[in-house]
Amino acid sequence: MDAPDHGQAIAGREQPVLHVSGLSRQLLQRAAGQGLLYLTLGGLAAVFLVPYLWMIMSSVKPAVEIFKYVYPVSWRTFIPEIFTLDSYRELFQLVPFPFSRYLLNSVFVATSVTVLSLIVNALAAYAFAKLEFPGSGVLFGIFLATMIVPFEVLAIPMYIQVRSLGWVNTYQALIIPFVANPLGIFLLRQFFQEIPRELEEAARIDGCSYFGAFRRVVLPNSVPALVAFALIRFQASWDAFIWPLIAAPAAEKRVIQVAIASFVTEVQTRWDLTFAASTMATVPIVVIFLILQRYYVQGVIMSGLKG
Amino acid sequence: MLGISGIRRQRYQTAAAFLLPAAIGIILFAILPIAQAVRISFFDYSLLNPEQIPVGLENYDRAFKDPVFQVALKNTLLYTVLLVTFQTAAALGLALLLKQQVRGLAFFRSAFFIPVVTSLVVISTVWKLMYNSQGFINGVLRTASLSPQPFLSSVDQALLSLVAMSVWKDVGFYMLIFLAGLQAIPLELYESAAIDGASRLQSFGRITLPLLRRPSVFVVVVGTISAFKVFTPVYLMTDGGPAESTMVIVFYIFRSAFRYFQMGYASAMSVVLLVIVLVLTLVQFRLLRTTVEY
Amino acid sequence: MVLKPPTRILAGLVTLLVLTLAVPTLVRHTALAQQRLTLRFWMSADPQLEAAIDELLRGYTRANPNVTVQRDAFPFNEYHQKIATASAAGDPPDVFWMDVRTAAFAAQGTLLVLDKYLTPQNKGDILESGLIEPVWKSHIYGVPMHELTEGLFVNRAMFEEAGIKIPQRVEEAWTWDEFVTNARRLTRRTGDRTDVWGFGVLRHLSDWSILPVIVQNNGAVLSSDMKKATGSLNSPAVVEAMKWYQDLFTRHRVIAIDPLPDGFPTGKIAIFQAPSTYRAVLDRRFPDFKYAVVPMFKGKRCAVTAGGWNVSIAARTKNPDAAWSLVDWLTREKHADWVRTSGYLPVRKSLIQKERQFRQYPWDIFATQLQNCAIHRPHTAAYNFFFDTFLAVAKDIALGRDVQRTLDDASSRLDVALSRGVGR
Repeated sequence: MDAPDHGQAIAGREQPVLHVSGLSRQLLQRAAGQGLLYLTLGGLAAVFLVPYLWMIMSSVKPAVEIFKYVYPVSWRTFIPEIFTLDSYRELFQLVPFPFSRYLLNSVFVATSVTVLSLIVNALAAYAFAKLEFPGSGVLFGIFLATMIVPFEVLAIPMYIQVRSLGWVNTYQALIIPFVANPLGIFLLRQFFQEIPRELEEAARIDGCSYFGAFRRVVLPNSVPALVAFALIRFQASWDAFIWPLIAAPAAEKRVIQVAIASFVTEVQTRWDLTFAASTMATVPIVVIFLILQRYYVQGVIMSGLKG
Repeated sequence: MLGISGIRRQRYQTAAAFLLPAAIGIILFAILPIAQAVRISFFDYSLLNPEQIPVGLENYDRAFKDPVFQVALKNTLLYTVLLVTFQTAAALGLALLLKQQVRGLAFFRSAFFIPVVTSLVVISTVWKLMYNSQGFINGVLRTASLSPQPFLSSVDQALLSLVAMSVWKDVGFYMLIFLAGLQAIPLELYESAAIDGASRLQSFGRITLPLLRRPSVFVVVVGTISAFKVFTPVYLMTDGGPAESTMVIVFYIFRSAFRYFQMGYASAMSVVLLVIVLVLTLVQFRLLRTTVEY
Repeated sequence: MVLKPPTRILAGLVTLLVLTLAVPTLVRHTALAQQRLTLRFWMSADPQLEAAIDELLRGYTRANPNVTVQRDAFPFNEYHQKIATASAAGDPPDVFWMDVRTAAFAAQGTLLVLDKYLTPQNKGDILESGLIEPVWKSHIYGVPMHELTEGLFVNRAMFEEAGIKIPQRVEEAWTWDEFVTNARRLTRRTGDRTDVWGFGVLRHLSDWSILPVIVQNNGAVLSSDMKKATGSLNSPAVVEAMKWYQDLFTRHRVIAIDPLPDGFPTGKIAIFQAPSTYRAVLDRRFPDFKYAVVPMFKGKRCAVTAGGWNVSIAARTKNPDAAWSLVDWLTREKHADWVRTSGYLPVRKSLIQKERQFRQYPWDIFATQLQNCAIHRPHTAAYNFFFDTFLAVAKDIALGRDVQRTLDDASSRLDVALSRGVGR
C-alpha cells in the first residue's frame, strides 16, 4: 500500500509485455534501491544508537579507561579492556543512601504523576471533546497558552506556592504540580474526538451517566492514546531536574537526576559513577518503551493529527 | 436567557466536575505563578530579600536596553529557526524512508525514537563529552580522515552543535507524527495522479505535501514553542558561551533569577518572552492553518 | 565517722570545689536540656566530606544530647542556588556552608552577624587569609572551617625522564619563562593529535585559577573598593598577563581548550594546577600514580588563590545560640579532626604550630603559600556576576579573541553590575 509498490504497479501497467532482460534489470534496480535504503537506514540507526552504546560500555569500564581510547575511535572505544562492575557497586554503596533509593524515588514520583495525570487529564479532555458547554473554546485556549511559559521562569513562584501549601520537603511537591498537563489534554482531546458519537449515545440511551459512558466506551477505545500519554508523562517526570533540585527535599526523597548532578564535586567529577547512573536511569525507560511501542505508535497515529 | 433545560444543566455540571481537578492544577501551578511572575516584574525584588520595591516599567526598560538580552533574543530566534527547519525536514525525511516497505521497520522506528524517551540531562552530559575536541565525534571524523572540529569551543559552531543534538533527540517524535499523516493519505490519490502521468516528484509536491498540512502545523508550532524554551543543553554544556553565541533567553532569565538573585528583572524578561512566543504562535497558526478536504 | 579537723576542712573544701564546678554545669545542662531542638545543617555534596562531617556531628550530638542535627548536602554547582531558594521561601537551614558569596547573602540580610560570638582569642587564632571572605562591611558572618589553596601537581615519571628538577620549596618556584619552557618540553604530539599536554588546570578557565596570573603581574581585576572594573580589569598589567595566558593556548599550545576529564592521573597532562584537596583524590582513586607537589609559578611576585568553606548561620534561625555552639564545634573544637579527615588545610595558627606535618613537604608548600602569597577572589555582593563574566572572558581569550577588547567589554559590563550592587 505504499509508493514503491505503487511504482511497480505503474511499471507493470506501462509494460504489459516484459522482456526477460528488462525484468531482471528492473529487479536489479529494485535490489539496488532496497540496498541503498537499508544502508541509509542502517547508517541513521547507528547515529541514533551509538551514543547509547558508548554510554553503556563506559559504565562497565574502570574510571581510568573511560576516556583513554576515545580519540581516535577504535573497537576499544566500546569494548572494555577490563570489564568491571565497580561503578555500579559503588553506586549501591553510597552514603547516606545507596543509589537504588534515588531510583525508587524517581519511580515512585514518576508513577504517581503518570497515574494521576491519566485520570485528571483524560477527564478534562473528555469534557472538552464531548461535552459542549459555553466558554469551552476559550478555556481550552487558556489552558494551552500556559504551555508556552518555560518552567524555569515559573520555578520560584511555584516554589513559593508550594511552600504556602506546606509541602516543602514532601513527595507531593514533586508530584502534584505536574499532574494537570495542557499538552496532554490537547492530545487526548484529539483522540477522543475521533470516537464515534454513536457508541456513546448507545451507552447513554441504555441509561449510562456521562461518567459511565466515559469509563465504558471512551476509555477502552483509547488505550493506545492513553499508553502514549502515560509514557510521555512518565518520561517527563523522570527527566525532571530543576524542580526537584529547587523543591529538593532532603536526601531521602531525592530523585535520580539530582543525584547524578551530585557526582560533580568541588574537586572532581566522578564520571564512572555518572555513566553507571545514567545507564541505570536510561535503560529501564527505553525497555518499557520498546515493550509498549506498539500502543504508543498506534496512539500517536490515531490521535487525529492526520487530518 | 431562559432557564437551561435539565439535560443541558446536567451536561454543564458534568463538564465542570470533569474539568475541576485539571483546572485546579492549572490555576494553582500555572496561572497563579504566571500572574505572580507578571506582578513581580514591576518590582525590584531580590531573591534573598522579601522586601519588594515597586519600580513601574523600569525592569522592562532595562531589558530593552540590555545588550545581553538582545543577544539572547537573537540567538533564541536563530536556534528556533534552525532547529524547526532541520527537525521538520529530517522528521519528514525519516518518515518517508520508513514508509517504504522495509523489513525490520519496527527496529528502525524504535532506534530513531529512543532518544525521545531518554532524559535530556543524560543526553546533554554524554553529548558534551562526545563534542570534546578529542572526543568521540572528532574521533570518528579523524578515523574517516576528516579534520576534527571545535564544536562547542567555536563561536560559529556552538549553536549549531546544540541544534544538531536537539534534532537528534526529538526527531523521532515528529517523525511519528508525519508517519501518521502519511498513512492517512488515500492511495487512490497517488494512483489517479499516476494515471494522469504525474512523476513521483510531482505527486509528492501536489499530493503529499499539501495533505501533510495538519501534521506539519503541529510539528512546526510545537517545535517552535519547544525550541524557544531551550535551557538544559545550554546550562549543562556551554554556559551561554563561547562569546555568548549560545546565550538563550530562558538561560539568561534563569541566571538573572537564580545566580544574580534579580527576580523582578527576570520576571520582566519572562513576560517579554511570553508575549513573543504567543504572538509567534498566533502568527504561525494564521499562516499555516488550512482546512483541507479530499 | 568522726574526721579530724584538717580532714574536715579538706573535705569541706573539696565539697565546695565540686559544688562550684557542678552547679554551673548543672544549670547549663538544665537550661539547654529544657529545650529539645533540631538544627538543620547544609553543605556541598561530596561523599568523603559528608562522611567526615557526619563523624563530627555524631560527637556533637553526644555532647549535646538534646539537639538533633539534620544534615543535608546538595550538588556543588547548584549549592548556592539551593540556599538562595530556601531563604527566599523563608525556610533556610540554621547552619550552612558559605564561601566568597558571603557578601551577596549578607547584603540581603540573610546571614546572622557573628561579631558577638567570636571571641578575640578565637579570632586571633585564625589565619588572616581565612577572615577575608566571611567579612562584609566590617562584620563577620562566618567562621572558616579550613583553608584551601592551590599548587602544581607534576607527573614524576615524565619529569624524571625529561631530566627536569622538581622544585620542592616555595623559594624554588618557577618563573613564568621556566614554567613555559618546561610545559613545552613535556608536551607531546603525533601529527595534529596531542598525546600529552604540558599543562592543565582543574578549575579550568575560572577566576580562581587565573587571578594569580594577573596578580603575579601586579595587576588587579577590580578597584580597591570593588565598585569599578574599568581601569583595573583592562589595565595594561592585566592585559599583559592575559596575553601571556592566551599564548599558553594559542602559541605554545601546552594546554587544551576543552580538556578531557582525569587527564593528569592518566598520563595525558604533565603539570596540573589543582587545589590542595586534589592530593586526596589522587591517593584514593589512583594510588599507583606517582606525582609530586610543586609550588605555583611566580611572576613579578608570588600569588595563589585561597578560600575555603566557612560556616554561617541564617539570620532567621530560631536557635542562634545552639547554632553557634554547632559552628564552634565544627570550626574550633574539632578543627584538628576535620583537617585530618577532610584533607583540607588548617586555618588555625595553633594547629599549624602544633602539627609538624604542616611544616614538612608537601604541606609546607601550601602552608607557606597561604601565609605569604594568598590572594582572594573579589568578595563583592555581585560575585556570581563577576564569576560568570570572568569565565566568559577566559574562554574567549583562550579561543584567541583580542585580549584588550575582551577585557574592555567585560569591564564596562562589570561596572554596571557592581554599581547596581546586584538588584539593590
